[in-house]
Amino acid sequence: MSLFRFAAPQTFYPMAGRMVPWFAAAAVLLGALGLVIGFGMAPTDFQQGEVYRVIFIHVPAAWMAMFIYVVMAVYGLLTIVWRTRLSGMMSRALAPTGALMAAIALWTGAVWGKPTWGAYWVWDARLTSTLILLFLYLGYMALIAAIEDPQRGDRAGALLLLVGVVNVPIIYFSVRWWNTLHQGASVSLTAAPKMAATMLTGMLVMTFAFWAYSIAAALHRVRSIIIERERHTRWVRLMLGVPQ
Amino acid sequence: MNHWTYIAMAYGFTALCIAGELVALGRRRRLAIERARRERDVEPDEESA
Repeated sequence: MSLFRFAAPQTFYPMAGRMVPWFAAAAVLLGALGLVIGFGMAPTDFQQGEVYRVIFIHVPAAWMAMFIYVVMAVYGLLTIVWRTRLSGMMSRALAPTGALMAAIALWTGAVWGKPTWGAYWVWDARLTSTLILLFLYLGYMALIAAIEDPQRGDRAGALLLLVGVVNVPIIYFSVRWWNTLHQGASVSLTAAPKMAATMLTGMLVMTFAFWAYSIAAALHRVRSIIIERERHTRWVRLMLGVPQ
Repeated sequence: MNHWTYIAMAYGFTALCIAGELVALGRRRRLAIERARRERDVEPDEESA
């Protein structure tokens, strides 16, 4: 059986519908657990005091903002190479959630920065490149909304995604390449974490919560996009009980 | 401002954003279904990707 079969909107629509409640439930449960660990179990930071607890949403949101953009770029590549309809729809469905994550990362970073650095904002490489990421999301959404033909919009958006994805490694490595006020990575796959185990656990649980939420939101949104795009087809009309 | 005020600003904004997105998701789905029910043209199904 070809994998492309699952990329047909008609096949994907019911599959996505079955997955949404599971990911939504996982997001709620993991989010609640993350808050319990973050506020009930993690100790107060000896340098930053209580305000460090912002990291339980700041770091997962920043990671998701970058990760979602990379996933959108992969779908963009599929749109350009194979011209699959669903890949363009998935990019469209992920964009608002990615923009939301970038906005949350910037806002929570700002309110953490004020008591810690003494400023809500500095034109530091990490902060500036994350702001550019937010603008890339907004630019992508504006571009696809401005083009009436959905397929042309998908291809134009895919090009923007592929050009813009170069910003993601810049965000990630900015703290190594430049002298930044933003601290370096506290969590790395190759080195021991630089924080207490309960803090790290809380942050990782919240990361999985944000991950599950983003998947649930994107799948829910892509189902609406499928209905919008395929509303004239017989299968959508049958599913919605519209007289033929 | 004390630290808990900053924490409230961070978590409050996040909660507002998520609530806003959930409302937008529900609204978009409702509008998509209403539009599909309103329109009458039918095209053949395309089962490819």
